[in-house]
Amino acid sequence: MERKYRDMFGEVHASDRLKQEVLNMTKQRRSQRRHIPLAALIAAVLVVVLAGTALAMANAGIRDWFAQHWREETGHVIHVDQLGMIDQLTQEIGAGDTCNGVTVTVDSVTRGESILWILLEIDGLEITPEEASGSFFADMGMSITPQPESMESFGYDFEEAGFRENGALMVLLRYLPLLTEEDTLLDACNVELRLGSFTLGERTVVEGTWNISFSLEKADLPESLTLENSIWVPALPLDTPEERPEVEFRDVRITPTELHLVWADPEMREKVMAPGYWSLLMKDGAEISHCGGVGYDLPDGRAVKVYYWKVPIDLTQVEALKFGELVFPLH
Amino acid sequence: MLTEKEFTEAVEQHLDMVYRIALNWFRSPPDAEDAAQNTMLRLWRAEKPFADGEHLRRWLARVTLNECKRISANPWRHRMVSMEICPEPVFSDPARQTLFQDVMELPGKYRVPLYLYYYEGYGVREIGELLGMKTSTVQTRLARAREKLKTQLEEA
Repeated sequence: MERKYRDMFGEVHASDRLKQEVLNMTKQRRSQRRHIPLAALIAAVLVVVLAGTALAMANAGIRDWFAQHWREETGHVIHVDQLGMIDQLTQEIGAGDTCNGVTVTVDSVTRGESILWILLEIDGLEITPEEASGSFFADMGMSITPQPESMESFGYDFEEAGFRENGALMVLLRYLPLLTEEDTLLDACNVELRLGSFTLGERTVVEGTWNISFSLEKADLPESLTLENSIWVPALPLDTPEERPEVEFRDVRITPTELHLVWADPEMREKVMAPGYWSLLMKDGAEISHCGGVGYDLPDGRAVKVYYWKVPIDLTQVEALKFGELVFPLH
Repeated sequence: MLTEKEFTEAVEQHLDMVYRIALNWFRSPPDAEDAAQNTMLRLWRAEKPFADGEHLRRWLARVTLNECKRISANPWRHRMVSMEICPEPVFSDPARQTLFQDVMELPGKYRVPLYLYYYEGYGVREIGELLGMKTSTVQTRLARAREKLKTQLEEA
């Protein structure tokens, strides 16, 4: 059996395409920041398509997208205070670039500690709303100056966000750099955004590169909520899925844009899948979950897990943190 | 840091191993490619010197397993990759195709130790070190994997 096994795996090879991609790594500078390794890579290839994507947005902006998204996710109308907070975190931009007859403009940017929602307006494309549901840029890079010290990699995804009355397609870019606790994206900075070739599914619609530069002013995020005690939640072991041990998280911190958790036992993250059924319960009964997360290690050995809320949250309206059916009251 | 030539040689020698370990972990070629790519990127950026080829091979095996764990643990583990881009392995002999399917049907906890033992030639203690398991656990899993595989082959 051993020989048969060896003969069989002797015929399993990495594809030529993978090999070429790996060999091409040598063309990158080793310290290149815009590559997307580790867990954040998963975000980079995730293209989320919302239900009801072809929204008629007129000249709507990012607050309308959040309001629409909140209604779809929770079944509730977004609170006016929450919209006010989103406005506070959002900066109108208006900078753009034209390539091959297509103009891409950064409409606005909404900021979190370690997430940027960037609303893009794409004018000059000849596509229908049906086609647009699978649209995104084939490549994306961003440099931020001054760059947060701990930032070494990032993830991103694109989401179609409707059409404006002038026919321009709106696309939401979520930018998720892997930052440690000391760094945030809230400081004033200059941003250079590079977008490469616009594609619909497998088809390239417009080849080219759009380079857009803009500045972000300092933003203030409302104070976060913290849990005084540790919490225990069931996790799925990587080796024996039939058993569900509980894992402990400390220093639970909820910001308007993220959930931060610290593994009580860093070793556990090698043994279980990071528990991912987190949501926030609002006072009006609305419940909003996260849209993914990343993990990183701190120099002192602590292991941190960060999840991003789908929409910025007004923390004064939050009732509890939930994990599946488990409820952890706040306030 | 490896030179470009050293890195290219490492890719030629070890990329298949990295991919196979990841394929045994995930069973899914797209996920295995992700893990393999991340692992090789880590190698390209690694600042540590490698004493010899065996040191490099073991480092790659360990980093691959860590990457597999990281990807498994990420809630964003959803990919849109066409099977045309990441094809399933193709074998010269139908019997090998069947054996591959039988191996892939084994529980995950058995597949990786089996591969490291049978194909890469690691000892039980080394596999225990790579997987963070006791030697006795590895021995038990190997025995059960062999037993299960034998049963599957007999049934086939």
